[in-house]
Amino acid sequence: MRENKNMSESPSQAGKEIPAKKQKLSSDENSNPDLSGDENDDAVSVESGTNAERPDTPTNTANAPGRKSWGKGKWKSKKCRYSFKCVNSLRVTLYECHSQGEIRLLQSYVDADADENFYTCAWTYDTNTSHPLLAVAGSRGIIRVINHITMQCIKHYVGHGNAINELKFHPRDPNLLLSVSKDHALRLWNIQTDTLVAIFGGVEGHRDEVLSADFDLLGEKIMSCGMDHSLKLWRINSERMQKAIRGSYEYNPSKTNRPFVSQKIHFPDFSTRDIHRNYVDCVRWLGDLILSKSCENAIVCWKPGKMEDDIDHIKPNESNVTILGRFDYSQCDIWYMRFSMDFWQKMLALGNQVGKLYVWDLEVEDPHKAKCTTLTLPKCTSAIRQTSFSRDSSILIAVCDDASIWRWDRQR
Amino acid sequence: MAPHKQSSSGGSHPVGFGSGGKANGLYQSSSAVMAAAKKPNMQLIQADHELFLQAFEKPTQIYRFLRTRNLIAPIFLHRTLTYMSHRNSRNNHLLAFKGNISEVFLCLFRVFFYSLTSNLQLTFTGFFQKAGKPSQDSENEQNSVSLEVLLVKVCHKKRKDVSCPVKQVPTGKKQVPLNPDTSAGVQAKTGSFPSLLVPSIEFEPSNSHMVKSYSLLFRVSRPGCPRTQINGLSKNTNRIETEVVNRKRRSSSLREEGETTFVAQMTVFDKNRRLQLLDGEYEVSMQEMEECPVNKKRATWETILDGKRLPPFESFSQGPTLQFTLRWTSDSTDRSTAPVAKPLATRNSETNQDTRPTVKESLNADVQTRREQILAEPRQKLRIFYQFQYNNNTRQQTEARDDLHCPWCTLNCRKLYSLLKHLKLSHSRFVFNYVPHPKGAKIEVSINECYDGSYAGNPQDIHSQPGFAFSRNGPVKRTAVTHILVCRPKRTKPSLSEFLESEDGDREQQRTYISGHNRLYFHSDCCLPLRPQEMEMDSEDERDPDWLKEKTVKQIEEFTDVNEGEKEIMKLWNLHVMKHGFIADNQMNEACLLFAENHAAVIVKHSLCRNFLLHLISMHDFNLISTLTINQAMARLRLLQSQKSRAEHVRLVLN
Repeated sequence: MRENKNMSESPSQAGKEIPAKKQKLSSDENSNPDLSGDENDDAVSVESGTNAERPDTPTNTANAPGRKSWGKGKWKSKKCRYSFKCVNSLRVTLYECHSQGEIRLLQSYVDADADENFYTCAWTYDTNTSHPLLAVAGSRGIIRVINHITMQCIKHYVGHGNAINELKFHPRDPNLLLSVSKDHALRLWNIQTDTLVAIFGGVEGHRDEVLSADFDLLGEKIMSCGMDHSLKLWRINSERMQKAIRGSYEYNPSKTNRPFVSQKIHFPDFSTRDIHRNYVDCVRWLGDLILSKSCENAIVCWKPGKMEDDIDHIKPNESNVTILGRFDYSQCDIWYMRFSMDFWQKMLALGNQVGKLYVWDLEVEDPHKAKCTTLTLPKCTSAIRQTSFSRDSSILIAVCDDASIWRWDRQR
Repeated sequence: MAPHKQSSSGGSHPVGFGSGGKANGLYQSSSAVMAAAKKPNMQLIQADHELFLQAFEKPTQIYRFLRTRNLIAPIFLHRTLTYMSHRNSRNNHLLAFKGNISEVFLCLFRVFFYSLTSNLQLTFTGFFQKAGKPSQDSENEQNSVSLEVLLVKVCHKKRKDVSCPVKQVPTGKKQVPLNPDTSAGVQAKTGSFPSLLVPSIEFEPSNSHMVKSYSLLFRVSRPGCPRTQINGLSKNTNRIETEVVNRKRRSSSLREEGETTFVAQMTVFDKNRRLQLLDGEYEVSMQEMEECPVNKKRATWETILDGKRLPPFESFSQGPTLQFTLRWTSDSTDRSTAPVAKPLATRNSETNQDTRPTVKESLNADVQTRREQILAEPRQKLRIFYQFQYNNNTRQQTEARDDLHCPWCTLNCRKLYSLLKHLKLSHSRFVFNYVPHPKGAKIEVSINECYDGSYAGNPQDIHSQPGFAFSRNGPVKRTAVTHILVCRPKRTKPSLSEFLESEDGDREQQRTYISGHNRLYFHSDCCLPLRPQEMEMDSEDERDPDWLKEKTVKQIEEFTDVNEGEKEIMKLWNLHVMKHGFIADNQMNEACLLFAENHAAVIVKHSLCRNFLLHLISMHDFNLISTLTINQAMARLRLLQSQKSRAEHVRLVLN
């Protein structure tokens, strides 16, 4: 497998691209008793530090039952999940040495319940041991936290009333986990004290499945989106939420007979349905701006309020939105197609339903002129549901509905 | 034998009566419907067998597994069950005296008495270890090993102690012959063997700590023995023996280069001060000392042998063993007063000289087997027919056994009543019906359709972090609210009639006996599991929930035809009404006064007095409140107002 093309350069090289190694892993391959089946992740690890992790590639399973239905149209297809994980600087070094982009299977976890179907995963680390932790969740609505050093499922959280569509860790507090669910709500968990800090949803929350959510860079607010065509802003730097988060750290179930009282946040701090006319299946912060997409062949860059309004002073009843730009592409009108950005928010990648990968370089003077590169391979023809950059954005991983994983290395 | 009978084909037969004794005669007189057919159709037989397996295989496998697990790590002891009381060896011990109660006490007392005033004499026959070659072959091979015997006293824990204090009292070192020729040993006088005497004073309570239990620790050092050779046999074998025999394994730090040390420990008095070692000949399985002794703090529970069961005496044929004769003597010459356990005649030291019965003492799980062999009183042959009914009771197969062992867990129940009770209570995946039979008893076995297979343990375990409901890593604490309810039901006299099939198909009896205990509740507002401690609290009060307050405030905020002051009053008022649940017109007087009482400060502070007055007047216009109420409410406000202005005035003056 070698592959790769220089994404930012001349298309002339495109002909040389060779597919990255395709990995089809079957779930039976392994072995570790505990959990998780096919998971996916988009990923790039968040953790800093620690060692030499050579994580990677958990698994997935090509033959999970139910897979067949994926990728069928937008109505019910769920995404594909494969996970890839984390590639950190050390790993990149390794690749350079071999000058071959190898994808190696390290571990695989299979959930005890055959009905489980993992949709999403997120990296964090244990603040005590610095072990990297992987949180996964899916159709059963149970969040599992896996320590792949000890190869154990160390935590699980029940509570969501339905499937979990996305998991995100707080950018500055590795113990705060956000999960978004088909039960119309988001939940914020503290995985150190096993408490549910808050539930976002209810009276004025989402009216249908929540599909995606993202923390802003400082972790002060959350933007969520869902099947109700709306995008909602939830601030977590409010006095109430800060108190709840502090309280969750102080809560010790063995010292008290009282349950931890979760905040029920029924009222978002901003809400709009003016950006998209269909399911909003992916949202990411880009500084104070927001990138979101629906199945309308465009990623929209927008901000709440008027052009000059500060995001931190937007009123809950603000009705204006300002659209700043669009990234157009084609053949991507099924839902549950996720775009991703690298850590430095300089690259944006999205796959479409025929296996084409669009990569935008955002590091240009005029955002409207963001350079778009299309990556295609003859063999990669099924829908690319999720993509992920490595921390330094030199590697791009794409996962398809046909259970294949494609790796692109940037040659520059 | 009927041609279509499955007989025990390997493990597939659901009830393979595998490990009984010789009495395991398995008669299979199959009486399936088509048994009469002269030339049975093989396919039909096959299909029938399939049905049979389908019905009985799963539960049988489960019970087999549970049996093994219970042998390795018992959850309860059968002998403690009321209907198994005859299995209680202690009872047997006493009853064997067949005396009146005072005599029994006397005997008991004597055992104690002697044990406390007698010296413990140990005579060592030899240390046996299978080596690669016989010892005679090599000149260099030493003929003896050095044995050290220590008396280990485990004392009661005092408050300050972290763990039980342990004292080791060395009682002596001896050279013990290595692999002595046993045939020669028979002729040899016992006196020629090395022997040790543990003085009775050692067993007396010492002043500093109350001693909880005494045990003997044997430590054999064999110089220059290549480790690999010794340890060639399965390590696991040793492991289980010593694990069970010796309640506690202790390792010493003394260890010389090139020396192999074997240890074994036997309890002399257990923590209830019961004498465990009676006179007799013993053979102890020794265990090679581990390289790195397990730190006590870090010791964890582990599954031994991966759950496989080993023949209990395996280690005696393979592992290193130490043979010795144990005797309690009041002084070194007088033997006659030594306590002798009568029921276990084979332990009697008096007969040692002539017969030398090899009693292999292995105080492990299979004590029961031994006892059964010895104690089972001769009984008339009772044949039990098990009639397996399946396929909606349209088919049946019969098997017969000659003993009263449970077919699933090979437990010897020894009485028909106990067997039936055991089957009914321990194997509730099946329904058992007793039918009297001229030759013994017939037990109809069918699948219990009402079996509740739900998790019967602590439901909190399923949701705890991380869940360990189905892992078995040793004992776990029950949930804090699990109470043991002491219930003394009226015990009916044991009678076989309770196992007869009830006429009215009484389903009641097949219900599981525990219920409600395995239930987990969830918080209604966040769907998180409810901890038992939280059960008493109503955390989910639905009256004036926060979101409704917030919603009300927001809605009022959206009004465009009222001014800010009015909005504030409306918010306060609406929340007030919501909070106290005022619903009727005639409550309004009270509501207004209470409102003035509670919110006067806020109203004054935000100077909303006029807005409030307006509100009261409009209520009066609707005939909801009287003028008196208006007066009282406003008086309350004015009082506060005047206090406030006076305070301000005073402050100004003072300044």
